[in-house]
Amino acid sequence: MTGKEAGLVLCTECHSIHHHMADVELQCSCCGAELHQRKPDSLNRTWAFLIASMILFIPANVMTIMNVAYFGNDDPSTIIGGVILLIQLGSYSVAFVVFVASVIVPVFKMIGIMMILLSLHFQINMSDQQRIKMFRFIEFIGRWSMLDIFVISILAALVNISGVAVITAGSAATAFGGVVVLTMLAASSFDTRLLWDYKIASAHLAQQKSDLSNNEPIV
Amino acid sequence: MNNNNNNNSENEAMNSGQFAQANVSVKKSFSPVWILPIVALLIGLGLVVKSYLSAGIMITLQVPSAEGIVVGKTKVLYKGITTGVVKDRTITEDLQNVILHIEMDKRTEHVLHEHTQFWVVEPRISLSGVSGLDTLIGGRYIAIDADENGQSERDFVALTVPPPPSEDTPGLHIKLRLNRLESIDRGTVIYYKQIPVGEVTNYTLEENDTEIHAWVLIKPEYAHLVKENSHFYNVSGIKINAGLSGVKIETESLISVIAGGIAFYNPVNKSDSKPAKHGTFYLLYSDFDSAQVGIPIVFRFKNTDSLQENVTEIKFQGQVVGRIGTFSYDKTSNEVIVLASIDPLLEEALTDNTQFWVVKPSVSILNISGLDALLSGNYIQMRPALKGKFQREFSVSETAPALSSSLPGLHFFIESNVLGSISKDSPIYFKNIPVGHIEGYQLADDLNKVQLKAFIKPEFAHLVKKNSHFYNVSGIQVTGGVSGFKVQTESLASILKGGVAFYTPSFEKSHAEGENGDSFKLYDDFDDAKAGIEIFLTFDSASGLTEGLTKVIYKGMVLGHVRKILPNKKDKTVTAKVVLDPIASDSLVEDTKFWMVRPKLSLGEINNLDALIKGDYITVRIGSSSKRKTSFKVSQSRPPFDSTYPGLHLKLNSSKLGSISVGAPVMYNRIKIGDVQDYELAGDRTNINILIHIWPQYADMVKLGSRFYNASGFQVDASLAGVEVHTESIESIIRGGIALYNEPNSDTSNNNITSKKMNTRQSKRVSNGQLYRLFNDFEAARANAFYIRVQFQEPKGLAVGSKVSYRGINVGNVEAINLNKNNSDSVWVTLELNSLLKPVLGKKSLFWVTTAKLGLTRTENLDTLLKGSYITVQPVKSRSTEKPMKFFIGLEEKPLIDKTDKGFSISLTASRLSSIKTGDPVYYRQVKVGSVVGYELADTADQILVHLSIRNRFKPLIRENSKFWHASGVAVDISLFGTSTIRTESLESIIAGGIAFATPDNDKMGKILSPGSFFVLHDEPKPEWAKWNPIIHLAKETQQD
Repeated sequence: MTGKEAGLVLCTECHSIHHHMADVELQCSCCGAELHQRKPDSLNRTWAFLIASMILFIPANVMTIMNVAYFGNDDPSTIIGGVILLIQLGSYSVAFVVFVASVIVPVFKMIGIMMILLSLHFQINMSDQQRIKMFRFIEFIGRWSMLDIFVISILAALVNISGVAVITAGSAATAFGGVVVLTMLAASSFDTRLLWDYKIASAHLAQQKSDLSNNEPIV
Repeated sequence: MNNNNNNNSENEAMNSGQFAQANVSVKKSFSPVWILPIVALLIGLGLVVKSYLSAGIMITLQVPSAEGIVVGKTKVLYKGITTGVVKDRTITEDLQNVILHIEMDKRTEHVLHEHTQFWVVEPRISLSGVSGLDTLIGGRYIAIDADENGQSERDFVALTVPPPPSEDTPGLHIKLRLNRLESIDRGTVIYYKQIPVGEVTNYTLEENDTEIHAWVLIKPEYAHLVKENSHFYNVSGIKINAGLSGVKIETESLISVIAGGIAFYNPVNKSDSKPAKHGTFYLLYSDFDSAQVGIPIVFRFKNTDSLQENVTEIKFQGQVVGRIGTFSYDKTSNEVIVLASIDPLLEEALTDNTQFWVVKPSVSILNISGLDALLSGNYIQMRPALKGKFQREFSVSETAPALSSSLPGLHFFIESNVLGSISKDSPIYFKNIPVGHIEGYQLADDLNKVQLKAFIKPEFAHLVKKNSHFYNVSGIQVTGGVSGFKVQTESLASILKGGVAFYTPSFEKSHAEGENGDSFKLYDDFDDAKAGIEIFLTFDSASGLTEGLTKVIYKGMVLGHVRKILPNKKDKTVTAKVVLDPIASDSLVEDTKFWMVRPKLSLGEINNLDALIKGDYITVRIGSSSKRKTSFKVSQSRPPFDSTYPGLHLKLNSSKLGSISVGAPVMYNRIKIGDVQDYELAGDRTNINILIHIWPQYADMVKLGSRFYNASGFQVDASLAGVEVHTESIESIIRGGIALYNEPNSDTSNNNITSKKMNTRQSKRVSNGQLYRLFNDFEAARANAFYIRVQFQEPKGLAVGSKVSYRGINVGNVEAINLNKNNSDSVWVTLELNSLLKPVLGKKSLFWVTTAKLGLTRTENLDTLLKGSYITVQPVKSRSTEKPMKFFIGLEEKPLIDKTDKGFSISLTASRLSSIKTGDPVYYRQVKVGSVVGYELADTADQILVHLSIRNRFKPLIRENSKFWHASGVAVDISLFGTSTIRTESLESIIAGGIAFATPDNDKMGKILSPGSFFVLHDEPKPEWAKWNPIIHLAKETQQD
């Protein structure tokens, strides 16, 4: 039994419970916030953010994220290029952190959100517990993927010895920042309660199917 | 519409199953959030498009090795700008080369044509230069030499070396033809006078691979230096010239030492040739000598032992002017014919008078020559002669031939009995300057003499006259003196080589100049044979004289020796024959003085120490007379200067000689300006005349008004203010000395010309023999002192040097203290007084001795405790016309009556002196208006006269009826019935005593008195005197008071 089934709506701001009424815009009697039984248009938005972030992920990895000009000689590097450089230099731990923050985390986030959305779309039976755990994990690690951007912005600010060494952020840094922001938006626009709604819905559907299979078709 | 509602109704309908099922259409509204992916997509697409558009042109470049080439890093630079980057590298199928895939900037498309060249730039650090240094940091890069002509091309083959500059590069492009490359390489520098002016840009094998052509690019700014006839030669490597004068390492530049280099020069005599054109061919010579292309000449040698084919050089004045080449033997003449080449510059000198000879090192005790040849190898010396017939064939002599007499300079012969240490090249000196040398020697025709061939350099040729004397100066002359030992020789070389010197007695025109071919006699030394001048010196005693040793020295210079000593029976003197250097001939005149110099040691002086070591010698003072003389009398000590001797000869009159000795300095401002010549008794037989000589350069310092004083010893001035030690010089402490004092002329501060003229007239030149007085010390000289004698009974505490004081100013001092011969009770004290006192000394002048007085009531003259007693002088006031006195009678102590006091003087009569002393104050209404100037017993001895001096201002206070009383001590008036009074004039008067007076009121006071009036001195005042209160107008204070 969900609140929705009981005809109730929860104010997400002050957590007071109201009776739900359809076709009208509800406002919380307590705090005045708009009341929705579910986040409006949640799945659409999540899909949009996800797709946008996936598109931006391509230039973020292909293009230059950081350009080290050393004695006037440009040395542009991509994310992976930087990781490889770090490995070559022997800084395995740093390479690992950068790799995780800049590659693993965004990829994991995007794939994770996409899996949840697909599982909802195609009614794939997945354990609710699994899905919610995955979602929590995505939310948790999402913030760490800004690490690379921080590193670049700090380096660009610190290393600015004109003529000797200048570090500038490349266009990939913008794209990568977009990726991180968009994946976080995607995660926040997803209403986890939909998981249960779809479960109930699918249960109903299964019930209907079995009813249909048991009964004569109504024609 | 709400989905849920639809669903609900559907569900209801389905659940009820009673109603027809409505068509459910879910309205899908387009969510604006989908704009985001579209935007992202657009961004992505934009980036793709951008990267596509900026993507360059892919080309391939075949390189032999990909060493140092990094994919994604190695760039293609065109004039320093990145125009491409290496994207990939692959190996060619034959595994021989590497293909670089390069992405070129789109904008470079127009240069990617078939003639465009690529090459890999790598750091090149070589001795000839460092290039591509930037690649050390940035890594290697690929350079392009763009060429827009030709077809478009995408596949290139890289050059292995940077391409040579193209023909259109600014500068002069020429070619060198060479047989072997040797150390020439691309980049080899071309030098002109050691300045790098260009470089070898490339070289190729040409002409069937038999010769090498090197392309040379001369920098535009130096292009004009290359002429059509320029000679290029290889300067690689080092040329070491080792000689006696040092080792010279010669190279065009350090780079060229190792990296090789090419230099060129333009033949000087053909400098007008045209500048080179582009592409001109030049031959590269292997070295400078071959490039010079000398004039071929032929040498004929009798003996080529010491010569080396192709090596032996021809030198002229140390410069290499040629080199010999190959040898061949000429059977007919039994000579070796050597081909040689000579610097074209010397072409004009190739005449039949030009001489060549071989220079070999030769070492012997007497002669070391050709030492340079030891290191540099034997060489052929050339002595060019411009005059003569041109020829190209020369015979070379074994040794240096005598100079041909056609050469400038003087050529003549010197005949000698023996050769001695004289040898070839022995120098000929004139006043120690080498002016020529001995060319050679030979036996004279009569086989008895040696004939030296002498040569005098042209610039000195005029020094040799027909009457010149030549003498041998070989050997060493050692002179010992206080200042050390002196080894004297004409020159060090003359010790070894021997030498000849000459002197020319006079350069008068009457004597003909020496001519070529003249013959002279060589004397053993200058005094041996007529070169010296014989004179005769007469001595009182021959002590200290040694034949052949005793020298005649003039100002430290040995002029000659005593040759022979002959006793002179007639007048018991000794005559010495002395031979003098001819240079002294002009000095042997009438007033030239000779005297013996012997060491002299005494406390007062140490003289002629040098004679201790050198032995006694004769010294000479050259006179100025024109009358010649050859016989002189030698005095035993230095004779005083004649008045004719330059400088100023003065006489100083002094009462005593003091420590002044002959030779003592005469100083002015501590500079020695002359010396003491002699001293003698003055005409009066009491004083001494000291003869001094002022050196000519200082003669103008002595003026008529100048004063001289004895500066011997040192003078200590001690006073309460400090101690001052004064001396002229250390020398004057020991030897005594005289100093000159010129009174500073007040006019000299005035720069007026007229005043200067006046000064010069006043201080016109002092003539010789002027007599001056010698003052005892500086003070006396400054004061222009005069002397008086004062007779004292007992001059307590006086000593020679005691001061004479007038009103506290030092005006002189005690010159001497003598017993009076006539009156043994008294003492004559001679005083030296400042000339200012002279006019004021008269009969009434008083002298007394001031000594320290310590007493209960008076402490006086404390300063004498330190300075000693002094004499106080009190001149008379009036400037009487009487003659200045010379003798005075001195007082034992300060006179009781101070006659110098200018106050209004009166006298008091008293029965007793009481406590009154000289100097006691006189009070009027307790104000001091005068003082006691003295007291004396009246002539009748019944009273005491006390003399007072009242200051002029207070003169009107003294009236006829004024009353005087003792103010000394304390008057205590004790009355049984009245009050007791204690009365005193002032605190000072309690102790020191004094006199007070009062004047009655106006009507009773009486008239003003004239000086010298007498009053009675009462013991104590009457009470009514104190009540008097007259009104008296005081006189105006006069300046004198």
